[in-house]
Amino acid sequence: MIPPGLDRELADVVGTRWVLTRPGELLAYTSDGLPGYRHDPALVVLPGTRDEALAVVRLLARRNVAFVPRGAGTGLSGGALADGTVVLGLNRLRRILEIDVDNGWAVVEPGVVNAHLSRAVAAYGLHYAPDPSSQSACTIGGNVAENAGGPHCLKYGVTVNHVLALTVALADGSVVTLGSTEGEVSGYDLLGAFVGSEGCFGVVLDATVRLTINPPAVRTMLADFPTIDSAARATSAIIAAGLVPAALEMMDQPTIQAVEASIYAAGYPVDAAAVLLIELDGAAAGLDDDVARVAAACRDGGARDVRVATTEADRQRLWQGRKKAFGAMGRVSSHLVVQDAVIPRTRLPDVLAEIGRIGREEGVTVCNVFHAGDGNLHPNIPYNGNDAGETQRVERAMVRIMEACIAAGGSVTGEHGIGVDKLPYMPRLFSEATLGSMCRLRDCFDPERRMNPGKVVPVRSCREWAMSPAARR
Amino acid sequence: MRDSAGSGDTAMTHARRRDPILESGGGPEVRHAPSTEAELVDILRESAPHTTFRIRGAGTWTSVTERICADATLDLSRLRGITAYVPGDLTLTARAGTLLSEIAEVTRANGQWLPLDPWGGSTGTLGATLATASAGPLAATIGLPRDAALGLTIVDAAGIRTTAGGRVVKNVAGFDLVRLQVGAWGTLGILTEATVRLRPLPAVDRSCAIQLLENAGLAELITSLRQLTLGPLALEAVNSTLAATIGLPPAAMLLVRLGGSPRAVAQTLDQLLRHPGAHEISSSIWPTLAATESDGAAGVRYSVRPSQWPSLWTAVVDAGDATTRVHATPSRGIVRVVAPAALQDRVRQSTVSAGAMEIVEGAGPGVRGLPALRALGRRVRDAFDPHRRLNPGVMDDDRS
Repeated sequence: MIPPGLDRELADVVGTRWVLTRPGELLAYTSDGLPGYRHDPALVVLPGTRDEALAVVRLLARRNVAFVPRGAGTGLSGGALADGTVVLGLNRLRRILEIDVDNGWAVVEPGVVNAHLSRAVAAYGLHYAPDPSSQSACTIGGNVAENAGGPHCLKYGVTVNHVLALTVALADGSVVTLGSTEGEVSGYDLLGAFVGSEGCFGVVLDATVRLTINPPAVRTMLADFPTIDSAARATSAIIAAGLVPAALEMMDQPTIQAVEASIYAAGYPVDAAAVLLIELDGAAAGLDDDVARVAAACRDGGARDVRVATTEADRQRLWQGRKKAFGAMGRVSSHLVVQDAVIPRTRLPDVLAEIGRIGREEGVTVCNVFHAGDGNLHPNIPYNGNDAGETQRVERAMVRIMEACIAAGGSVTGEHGIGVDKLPYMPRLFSEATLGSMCRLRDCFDPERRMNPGKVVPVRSCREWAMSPAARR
Repeated sequence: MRDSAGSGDTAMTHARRRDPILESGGGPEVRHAPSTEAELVDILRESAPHTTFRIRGAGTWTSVTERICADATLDLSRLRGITAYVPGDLTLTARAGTLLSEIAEVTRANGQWLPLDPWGGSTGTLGATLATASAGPLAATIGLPRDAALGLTIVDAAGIRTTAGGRVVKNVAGFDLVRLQVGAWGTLGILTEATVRLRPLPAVDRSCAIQLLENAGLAELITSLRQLTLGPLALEAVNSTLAATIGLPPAAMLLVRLGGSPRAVAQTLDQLLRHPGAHEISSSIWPTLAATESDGAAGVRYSVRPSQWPSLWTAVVDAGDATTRVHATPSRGIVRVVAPAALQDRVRQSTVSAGAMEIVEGAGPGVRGLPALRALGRRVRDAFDPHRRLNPGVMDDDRS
C-alpha cells in the first residue's frame, strides 16, 4: 500500500520514535471519536515542529502517498481514518506562538488544545469562543478542519467566525497563507472555503484565531419541562421574543438520567421530560430584564420550574453535566452512536416527536442532548455493539432519524462533519452538479487527491476522484 | 452570441432606457434581463461558449462594472422577490435581484433585520451585496455578508444550476461553496437566490458622535471604548469633510452606534457622553453615511492591523484636501477614501509609509499575495469559469 522504505525516510525527518508502525501502536489510530468505523493505517507519523510537518508533507508528495491529517482524534464522523495510508498526527505541535492582546488574537500551532488556549489568555480577560464538548481534548487544527461548534456558537458563531488567517501546507508541499491579520484581503474567500474542509484541502501549520473579550456579566438558567414538546416550543418562543442567548441547550429525560447517575451529576431534575440550559451574557445593566423575559417564555411554555445559578460553582456544575453528557452515557451501554443533524428551529417540536416515535418503533433508547437554539440536534443511541440484532436496529433508527431531518428541510451535520459516516446522505442533500462543484473546489487545493481520500464527497459522485491514483490505492 | 429575443423585448427596452452605460454609448450591444432562473440557464446554455457577460443587479456598482468589457449584459433586476420567510427560524430566502430595502421592510414588520449595510445603502440588491461582500460599519460587530449567507442557488458559467449550503443556521455538510461564492463578484457563478440569517432588531438604537479634537489620542479613545458597559453595534470615524456631508458639524468625529436593551443602551450612552466633544445624534445618520458612496465613487480601501489604525488614519487625512472624504472602521483596521483619482495617488503614497494594504474592489485573487496564493486563486477561477465568461477582468489577477 505504501512504498517500501517510507517509514525509514519519515524517521529521518522526525526521528524513529515518532514513526509508528507496529499493530499495537497503531491501535489508537484505527478510529476517531465514532468507534463504529475502524480502518487500519499503514503507519502514523508525528512531527514535532512545523518544519518537520512541512518536510513530511513534502516527502509524502515526492513519494505520491495519500495521507490523513489528524489532531486529537475526537472527531465524531470517522473523518480522521486512514485506510492503509498514512496518518499525519499534528498533536505534538502545541505551542502558542503569539498572543496579541491589543488586536485580540492569538497565533497557535494546530495541536494546541482548545481549552488550553482559553486558559492561556484568561489573565487578559479573553477567551477562545468556540467550545465543543470535547474542548478539554480537541485541538484547534481539528476544530478548523471540522468547523467545530459548541453551545456558545448560538451567539458567538462557529470556528470559521473566529479564524483570521491560516498558514497551510497544500498536498504538493507548497505553503499558502489564507486570510490576513492586516485588516482585510481581496480575492476569493479561500480561508472560508478551507475551514471545515475536513483535512481534504491542506495541513494547518499555524492558525491566527480571534480572542473574545469575556462578557462582563453572565446568567445561567435551568428550566424544567414536563414534556419534550413544551421545551421545544419554549425554545422557539425565546428566539421569537428577540432574545439571543449565549447558549440554549436541551437535554431529554434519558440524557438527564444518564448524567445524574454519573460522577458528572449536576442536580438536574430526574423526573423532567426535558430541561433547557440557557445562558445569557453581556452588559450587567438590562441582563436581569432579559433573564426575566426568558423565564417568562419558559413558564408560559409550561415549565414547572426555572432557576438561575447563584454561584460560579453552581454555574460550572450545570455546564459540566451538559458537556460530559456523552461521557455519562458510557455508563448506560458499551457502545454509543452520536448523531449530528440540523433542522429549522421551528420544526423542533414535530421532529423531536418523530424521533421519539422512531426510537419506540425500533426498540432503542434515543438520548437527545443538543443545541436547541441552533436547531442542531444530537440524537444519541447507547447500545451493545456485540448484539448484532440491536446494532441493526440502531442503524435503522439512525437512518430514519436522518431522513426525518432531511425531510424537515435540514442538514445532516451542524458541527461534526461528513467524514465517512454521513457520506450516504450527501446525494440526498445535494445534486450531482453541486457535488461536482465540491470536487472541483477540492481539486484546486489537491489535484492529486492524496489528502484524506474518500471523505466528504461520495466517490461515485466524483468520477475524477474515483479514477485518481490515491483512491485506487 | 445570442440575441435577447427570448428574454422579453419590453424588459430589454425598459432596461436600455435606464442604463447609463448604454446611454454613454460605450456599453455592450446585447442585454438580457431574465425574469426566471430557467431563462438565465437558457441564455448561458444557448450562447456560444466564449460569449462573455457583465453581471448586473441594480447597477450601483458602476465603478467596477464599467471596467468590464463583455459581449452582453445579464441584468438580474427582474429576478426578484422574497420566496420564503420564517420569522421563527430567523431566516429569509429571496431571489438575487431583491432590493435590500424590500427585505428591510418585510423583516421590520416582525421585529427583525438583515444587518447588512453595504456602502451605497439599501438601493442595492441582495445578490450584489453577497457577490461583492460589500460591508459597512455593522460588519465590525455583527459580521460580514459571508456570515449572513446560509445558502445559495447558483447558475454557473456553463448554465448548470447548483446549490450551496441550505436553510438552516448551522451546517457543515460538504465543502463550503457559500463562502467561496460570497465575495467572488460573480466570477465563479451567478447567484440567483440566497437564504440569509436574520437577527432580532435591537429594542433601542441610539447613536452619538465624539469629536476627534486632533489626530493624537485616537488609540487611547478606542481603548477607552472597550471599557463600555455595552459593546457598540458600530464605530466609524469620519473626517471633517465627510461629517459636513452627512449633516454634522465639520469636524473629525467618531460615530458610535448602540443597540440592545433600553437600560444597557442608556447606561452606555451616559458613559460616552462624558467624553469631551460628545453629543447624541440620530441613528438615521448611518443610512446617510452609507449613501454618500451611492454615486459609484471609486472605492479605495486601505487596511492595516487594527492596532495600527491611528497612524493610517492620520496619514490618509493629512494627504487629502478639503474635498476628500475619509472614513474608517477602527476595529477592522480599514480606512476608506473617496477622492478624485489624482488625489488618490497622493493618498496612496502616504499609506505606503503607514504600511497599509490597498484593496481595490473587484481586484484579483491574491493580487498582493505570494505566488502560491495567486496560483490557487487562478486554479479556482479556471475550475469554475475556464473561459472567463462571467465578469471578465474582475477578480482576475492577470489584469493587474
